[in-house]
Amino acid sequence: MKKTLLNFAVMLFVASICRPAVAQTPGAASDQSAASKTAAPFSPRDLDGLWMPAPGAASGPQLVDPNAHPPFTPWGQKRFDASFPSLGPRDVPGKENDPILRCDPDGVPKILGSPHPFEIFMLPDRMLQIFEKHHDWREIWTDGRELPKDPPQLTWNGYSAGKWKGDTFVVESTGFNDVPWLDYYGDPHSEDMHLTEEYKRVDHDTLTISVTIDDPKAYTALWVGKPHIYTLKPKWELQEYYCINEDMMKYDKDIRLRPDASGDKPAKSGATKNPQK
Amino acid sequence: MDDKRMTRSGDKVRIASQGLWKKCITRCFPWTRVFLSMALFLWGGFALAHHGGAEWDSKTTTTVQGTITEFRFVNPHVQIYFDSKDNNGKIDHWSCEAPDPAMLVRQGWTREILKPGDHVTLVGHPAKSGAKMITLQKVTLPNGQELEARGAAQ
Repeated sequence: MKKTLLNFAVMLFVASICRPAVAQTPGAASDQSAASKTAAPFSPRDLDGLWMPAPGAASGPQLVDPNAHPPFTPWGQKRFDASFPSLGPRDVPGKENDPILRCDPDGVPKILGSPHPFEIFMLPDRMLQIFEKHHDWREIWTDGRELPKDPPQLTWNGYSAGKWKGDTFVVESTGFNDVPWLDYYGDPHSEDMHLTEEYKRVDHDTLTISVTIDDPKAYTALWVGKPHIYTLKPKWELQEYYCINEDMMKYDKDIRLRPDASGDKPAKSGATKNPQK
Repeated sequence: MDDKRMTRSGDKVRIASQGLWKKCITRCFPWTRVFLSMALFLWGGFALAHHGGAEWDSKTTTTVQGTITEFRFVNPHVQIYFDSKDNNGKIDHWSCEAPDPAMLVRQGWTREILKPGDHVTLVGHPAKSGAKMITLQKVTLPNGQELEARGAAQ
């Protein structure tokens, strides 16, 4: 028992000192101060604020649970086989074809998994989401309207309506085009996707979003995600982040797609290498 | 979930488990390493190199001193180009990738923080291919100031 307690104390201490340092610059929130506010009073129906995916495994770039991946339909499998993601075991450096590599928008729900902040504004008739990445935005109507049965256009972010069920804000969306991927791992979605998102403010500084993918054209069953965790960043300001194709092409030419960028050869240079044991 | 996301937290696990700590902790409880790894991962955050391309050797940290030739403070990645003399006095042309400007601004960077001619020290992970490329973790400016270059959500 004594050893176990000692072990626990050591583990907590080591983990605490290994927390990432937080930049103390204007516009940057302190994680420590944020943590101390966790017990602060809050309204579960107040989702306003600037939210950032929290560090940690539960907030990786994938909102859906990879361990609960439903089988593909033939259409879904074909689209998946044609994708070459930038993340995960299927990443082949230099061959990636994620649509964002040509500065396409991430689309919903992928952008909610992107490790960049976004801001929520609850307005009388809608929730407005503004994303730092791509300087993108999205409206979720709360005026009681139904989703259109035949949307006039298919879009990257879809058409969304939301309402409160208890203290959970539930968003239903349809009307997506099938260009963006569902996630960063090359999983597809079709124009038939019906997306459900559940927003829950669990404490003053924490918001969770859980998604359910209903896309019978791509998957043979529902794909249910685990709660994705976001941390309130009251001192942060959204920055401008446009993806400019000209800048992307220069970056591709000089770094990403440099002929010698891939492969596995030992470095020969005057640099000091410090292998980490 | 994948190696790229594990990068930083994985490093911390290795560093934290060295020496006396390792001796003490592993003696106390055989599952400690597992629990400690999980705790550090949850604390440590994840790195998302969403643009792929160059393969970075996340297990190695390289320190390079050089003179800036070009500084691009643009999306999707800030880029630093610099010249560095190798051990034989030959000048190598290096490329360095850093996170996007929005994340760097939060860490004290500005669009004029680096200028051609500045002599700096850059620390980062090298390309596995041996190309003169690194993905930046930290830079020391000519005035001695150190700036971190943590990616989004790290």
